[in-house]
Amino acid sequence: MKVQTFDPAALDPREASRRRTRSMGLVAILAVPAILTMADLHVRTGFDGWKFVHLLLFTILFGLVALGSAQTLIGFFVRRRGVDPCRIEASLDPAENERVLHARTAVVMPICNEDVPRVIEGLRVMYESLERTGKLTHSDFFLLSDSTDPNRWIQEEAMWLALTQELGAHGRIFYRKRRVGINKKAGNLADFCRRWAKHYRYMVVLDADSVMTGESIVSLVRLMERNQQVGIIQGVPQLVNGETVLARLQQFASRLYGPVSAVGLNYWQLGEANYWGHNAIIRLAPFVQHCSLPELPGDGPFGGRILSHDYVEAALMRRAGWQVWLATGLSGNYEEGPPNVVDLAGRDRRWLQGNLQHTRLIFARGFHAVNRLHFILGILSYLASPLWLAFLVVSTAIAYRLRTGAGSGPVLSPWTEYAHWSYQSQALWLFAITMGMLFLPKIVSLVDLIGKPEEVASFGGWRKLLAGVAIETVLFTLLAPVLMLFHTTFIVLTLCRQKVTWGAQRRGRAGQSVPMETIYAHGSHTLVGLGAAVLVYRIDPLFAAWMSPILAGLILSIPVSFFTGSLQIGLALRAKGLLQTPEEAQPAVELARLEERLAIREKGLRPLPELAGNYGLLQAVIDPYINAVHVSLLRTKEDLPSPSEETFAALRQTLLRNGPDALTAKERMALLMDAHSMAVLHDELWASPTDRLAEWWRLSLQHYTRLAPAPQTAFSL
Amino acid sequence: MDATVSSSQIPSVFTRPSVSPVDPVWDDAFSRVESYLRAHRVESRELLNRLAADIIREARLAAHDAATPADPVALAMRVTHERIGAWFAHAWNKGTWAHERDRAQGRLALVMADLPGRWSNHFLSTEAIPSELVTGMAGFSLQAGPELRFSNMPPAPLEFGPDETDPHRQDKSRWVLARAALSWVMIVGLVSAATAASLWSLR
Repeated sequence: MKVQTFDPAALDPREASRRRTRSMGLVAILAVPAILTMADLHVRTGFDGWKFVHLLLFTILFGLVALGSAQTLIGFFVRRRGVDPCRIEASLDPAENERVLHARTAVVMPICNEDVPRVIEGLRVMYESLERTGKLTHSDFFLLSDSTDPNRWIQEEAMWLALTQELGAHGRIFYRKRRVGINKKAGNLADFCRRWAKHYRYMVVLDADSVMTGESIVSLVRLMERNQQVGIIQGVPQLVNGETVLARLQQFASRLYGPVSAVGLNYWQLGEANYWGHNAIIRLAPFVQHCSLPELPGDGPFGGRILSHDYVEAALMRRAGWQVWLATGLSGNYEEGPPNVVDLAGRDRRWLQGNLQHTRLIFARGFHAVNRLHFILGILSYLASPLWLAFLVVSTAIAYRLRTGAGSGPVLSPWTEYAHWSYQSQALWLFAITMGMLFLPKIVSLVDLIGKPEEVASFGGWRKLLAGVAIETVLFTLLAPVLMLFHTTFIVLTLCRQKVTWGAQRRGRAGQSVPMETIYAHGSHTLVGLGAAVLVYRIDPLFAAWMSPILAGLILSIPVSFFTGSLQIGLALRAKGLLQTPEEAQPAVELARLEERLAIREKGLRPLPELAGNYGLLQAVIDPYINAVHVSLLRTKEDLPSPSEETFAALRQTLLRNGPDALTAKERMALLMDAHSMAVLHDELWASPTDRLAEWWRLSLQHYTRLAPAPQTAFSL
Repeated sequence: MDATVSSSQIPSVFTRPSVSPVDPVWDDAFSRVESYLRAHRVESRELLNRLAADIIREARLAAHDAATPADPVALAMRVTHERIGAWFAHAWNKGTWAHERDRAQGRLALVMADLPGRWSNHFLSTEAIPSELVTGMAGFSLQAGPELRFSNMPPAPLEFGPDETDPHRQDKSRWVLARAALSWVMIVGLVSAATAASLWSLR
């Protein structure tokens, strides 16, 4: 039987226009009454400059909230009617599912100072999963490293080779380390494209914490093969493997509310969807031709190299005439979330600067209007924080002015007279509408589960599901003002041209909140909260009561942040089945295998604390095999000019005689990058009498010594 | 009582192998050789001991014959490398062991043939080497990436402001402007109407 499939190439542009008009119309329907009510409230007490600014801020902020709610509502109605016919997955004919694909595909994972065992084990489970499908025979995996930490670098090399040997995947899993990490992740991927894009038709881009099942990768390739006008398909990754309270809150919330919202997002995006930087497939030929990132004119926070590359690459792809789709129904697509508030803020700091930089691109020529909207929404997702803060400050000022008699007393407008609305009840209604709008996505997502007992059971049943929603709502309400202050500070720092460092996300036990770090990060938030509480209470105790959720969030930021970063409490909640997700209740084979492999890694011996700081260097110099692998992976240089060789010889001598701490990090890195030096160091170290080696090396050599230490008895003294 | 013992008084069982008191520098050399072999993942105590003792014996002979005194550790490691080089020549029949880079290449061959995991007890063995190990070493290649096939990836041009070269620009921009103006008129009209209604009520 021939199945009717969706053809994105034949999509009527008027259908896209109709859907976008409906979506924006719904946003207006949700937002305008509230905005008019707010305007009316201000008019009743005398309109002035403060209130004009207040209304303007309210309009922007409420508009954003309404957009989210409208999207979820649309997603809900689409799901209730069945499935959206205009979705990229509907383009596949199920009859073709068994066909083996011959399109050469590169599965690439750009990394930079990441947790290496997690990266390697993630690659392992994806490779094994893809192998099990037996359908994608022409795929290779790439580990694209920009790591600058020597320990991580050496560990990556050794673990990569061990992995290829264990899987028998020589020539199928590759490793490439850039000497200089120009242009961060975008530059890393561009480097891959310049070297090897001609070998492959598609590139599946992963993050260091991504897991995609083989079936999921095969489905993406199949979709690309079916739709030759599509340049990028973005999957919707589920957050998984969360252990701390915050990580589990995020994965619970995204799993519960995400699917409905994603359907609503696809409803208006269609072929002008966005690219989120990972868990996506890209058609390489047009990507190479059209998506190399240009530098923005000027320097500083809005110029220079583009930091957040994904939105721009999607816009460039669309500008070149290729469609970009969001695959909302693709399963087996996972990533991990930050484990604590400080890490979450750190990630936002990086994304924020990148998104702010897009301001220039809104006005660049040739981009599709929807891509411009993506830029605007990306900017507003962070700019909303200072706007919210300004809104609160202006609200306080208005409350103060009303308290001190500025403006007139409340009067009735015809509308409120008709509705029998007192000033207080009108304000209460507006508050209720705002709260309703904020909670609408949650309510709609819960309603969406009615009549789906299996899905409800996978969340632990209604009782635990609702308890999870309550916990998530309380904690995210308390965290929202903290993130508001974080984002506002970051925007100020960005405008002051302070550089952003790109650190790796901490995971597992390492991802727990650290007391001093938490106090340092949130001390200022607590002080701001206390100051604001005193101020608003003195202005009007009733106003302070209205502001209490925000003030409580700030005042309690240290304990709340510490609590949400707790591994023990997170695991205790998991044991009780709270904040459970379907992926946690019944993990995919790949996720279970990943957990099993990481548990084995966890049992491995750790280096002595004295050696841990330079353990990568230790292994690269001492271990015959790791040294051999490292030397072989370094680029062979022609004979160095004599002064350079003399410099390297002096560095080698210093390293052996005085230990690694006698060299600067730059000097250690220079030695690690010099193949000749590394080969010579190995021989020289082993051939040096013990008394001519630094104490650090003597301790290192004990790793390989057969003898146990002499028994400690009275005669040993 | 005389505390010294003449050699004639020592039981013959102790005199057969020539054992001299331990020289700390050769002890250090022994330990280093043993550690180096262990770093190659040779874990058999018997094999380690045998190999290390044999290497040290040869190094001591070399030291005895040398015109100038050499450091025992350096000498023992030189003998170790010679021994590994000879074994390689026997097993691999390829390459040379003379330079650091060559030795690194040889060690890589050992890794690729999985000597550390499967064949460590055959390391430096004078007996026949398993053919699987020989094949693994002979056929090894460390492929960190596919063959390079460079692509030109020029930065996508970004232009700001109106496109002067677009012949339909005037028509398009007029239509876009008209739509934008109409939208704004509607929005401002709605807000104005609400504001006016409220103001009217204040009269």
